[in-house]
Amino acid sequence: MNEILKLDHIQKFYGNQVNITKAINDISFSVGEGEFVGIMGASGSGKTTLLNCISTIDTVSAGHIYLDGTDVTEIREKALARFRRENLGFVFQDFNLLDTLTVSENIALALTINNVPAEQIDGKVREMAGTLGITDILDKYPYQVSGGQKQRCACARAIINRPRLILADEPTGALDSHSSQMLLSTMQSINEQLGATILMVTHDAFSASYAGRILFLRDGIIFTEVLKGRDSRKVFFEKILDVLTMMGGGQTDVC
Amino acid sequence: MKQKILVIEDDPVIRAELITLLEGNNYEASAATDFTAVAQTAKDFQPHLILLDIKLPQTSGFTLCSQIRGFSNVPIIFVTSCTTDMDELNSIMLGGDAFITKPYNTAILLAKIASLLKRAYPAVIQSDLSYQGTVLHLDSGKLEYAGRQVDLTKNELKILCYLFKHAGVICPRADMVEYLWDNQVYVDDNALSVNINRIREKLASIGLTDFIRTKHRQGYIL
Amino acid sequence: MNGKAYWKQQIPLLFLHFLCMIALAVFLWVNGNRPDSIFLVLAIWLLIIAAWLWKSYRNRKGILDELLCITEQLDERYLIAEVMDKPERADDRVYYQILKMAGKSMLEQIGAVRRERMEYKDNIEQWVHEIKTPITAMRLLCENHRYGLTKELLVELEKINRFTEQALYYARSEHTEKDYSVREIRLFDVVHQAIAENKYMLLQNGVSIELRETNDTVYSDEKWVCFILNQIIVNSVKYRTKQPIIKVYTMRQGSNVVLCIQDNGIGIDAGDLPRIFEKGFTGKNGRSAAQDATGIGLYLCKRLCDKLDIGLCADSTGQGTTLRLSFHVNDFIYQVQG
Repeated sequence: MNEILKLDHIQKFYGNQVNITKAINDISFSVGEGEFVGIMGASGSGKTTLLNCISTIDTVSAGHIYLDGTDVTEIREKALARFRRENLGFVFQDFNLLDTLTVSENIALALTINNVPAEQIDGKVREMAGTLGITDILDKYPYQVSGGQKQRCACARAIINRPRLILADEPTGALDSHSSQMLLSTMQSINEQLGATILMVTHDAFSASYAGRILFLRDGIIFTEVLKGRDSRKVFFEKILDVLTMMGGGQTDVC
Repeated sequence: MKQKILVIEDDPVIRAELITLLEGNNYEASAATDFTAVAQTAKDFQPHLILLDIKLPQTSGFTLCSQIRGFSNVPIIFVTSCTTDMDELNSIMLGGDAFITKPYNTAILLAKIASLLKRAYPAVIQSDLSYQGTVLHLDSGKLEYAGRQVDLTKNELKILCYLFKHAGVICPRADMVEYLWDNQVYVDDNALSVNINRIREKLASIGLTDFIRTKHRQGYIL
Repeated sequence: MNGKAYWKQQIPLLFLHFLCMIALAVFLWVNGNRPDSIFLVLAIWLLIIAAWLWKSYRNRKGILDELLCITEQLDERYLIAEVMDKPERADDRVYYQILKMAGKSMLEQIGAVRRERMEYKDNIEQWVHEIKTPITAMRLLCENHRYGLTKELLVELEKINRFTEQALYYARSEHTEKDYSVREIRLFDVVHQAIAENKYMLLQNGVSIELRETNDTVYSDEKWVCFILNQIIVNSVKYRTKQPIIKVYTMRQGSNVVLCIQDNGIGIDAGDLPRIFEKGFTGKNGRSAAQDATGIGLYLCKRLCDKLDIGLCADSTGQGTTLRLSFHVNDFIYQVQG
């Protein structure tokens, strides 16, 4: 399987002269094409920092990040923005849709930025909207639709360019349970049917159970990993809860 | 009735020697050889105590412990060369009763076995030792002969215990000293002689003379 | 920042301004301007330039001095690029980029070396575990089948075991965070265990043991303390005289419980005493008395004691050596325990 993402002994320090924190101690892992991977950890475990580094918004202090074979730690800043645009898609907790544009225009933005010819845009937007079930709200403005629908728009925008990797940062954070469920099913179907590779950071075990593999972060390292394998989502959910309980235990954890 | 001990250990030499050691100390010992069916072996043998090695082929001692705990509360002593704290914690959490590291100090191992058995099966009282009409009461620490009793100090009791257990056999002084050391009595050769003489005086006071005989240059014999 | 050098480097710029001023003055003069208006223009120009240059200098010096200061205060100076603010000036940014790249490659090197050492340490642990099996087997064989030379074999086995333990604890002393646990332990239980582990050696050398046993308990790691006591006992035997005696007793010293191990051996030279915990130090008596004095034993003990916050010190008269282990007894713990 093609490795879309590969992290090689990442370290990240930050701070000021008074205190320096080692946010990421030594992390290595890879994500294969078509995988849906989740990263879980308490606040302070380094997961947001990790996502920021993978998405090239922040740089690592040591180590290498290979996105589809390219070492992003070696790309110069100017070229980085373009690389990001062409290869990554983002779904954030707070939707980040532009309020002055309609849903359809928001989605189209992603295409425009990437210089897709104008005549193709409309068709692609409609197609994506159809897949995600948001055709009926294409002409509405963000303030007119629900949180769940907004997040599905964000998804549409994220994947319309067929990026190599989709990064989701607490996508269900601002949604109620019903909308969360719908969003997660949507993400799951994007992954299964469109073959999109997704890396999702979350602190919520329910969201995590939709993924195929979960990495647990603690104190800046990957503490353990669980695979869904052939388990049902319910069984996987319980496995995840078990690990979280264990992790909450402190020094004398049985590993 | 001898108490039964099951040995679960993959190294053949250690396994054989443990059995020799246990049988030499009055236990009935058996070893599990099929590590895929250990639980069944335990069920069949019905031991009073199990010695369980943590590092086993194909499976881990911890897994086996959980299996056995599923149907029995038999005392389990974990033995291992690992000395990490995790293992100790694991063994306690999974239902083990004690933890001993390799290489075994045999005296300590036997002592732990004895104390666990005593705790688990209190009905089995310490039998008194007797020889040629003299009875050594282990619980009360007294020696009885012809209806008369004499008190013994802890050290004297231990010495006599050894002699009784090897009654009729010559006990080399070095062995006796070693035995006492195993019981945390750090005497040297002279102190041993002094203790023996004191015991002889006490025996004489109840009419026992020539009970402990000295074999010149070899040791003592009852 | 070196002020003199800075100003020196501004000279070409100042010279350029000067030339331009002259040119302008000539131009204005030729066009019939009065000298005093020419002077006015030049004066204003000069003032603006001077003020601008001075301000730039102050700013620059401020920023660079602070940067230098931050770097000096850092423990791990190679992290400066992670800690400093991103510079504003375009040319500074290039240096920043270079600093980051250099720091990154440094960190990667350090990381790689660390991982190698961890692997090696794990390797040692693995080896020690493996070797304990044949040691155990041999010990059991000896104990079960006694014949003429068994005691001698057992003494040698004890030695083998001791050296493997030493290797293990040496490897572990660098990564103690994971390998020790603090519990309540009865000091004399550990003493008995240490004696038991050296039983054959002590018996063979005719060592007498005198214990003044107490029920003192302290909070520490049993296995490590046992290892330390082992080392001390081995040393006492190594540097013994005829009729060696080892006395073990405890005493209270303020809020500490002190475990004392006293022998009547050949003692330590006064000149050597402050150095006995140094790595590889064998001392005057060490070199003459024992063939296998590696100097590691006490060094390791000190290291472990430091990690466990146990005070370790030694006294020596002509008639022997006393080693003292000081354990803090925290009344708070006992109070909390009720």
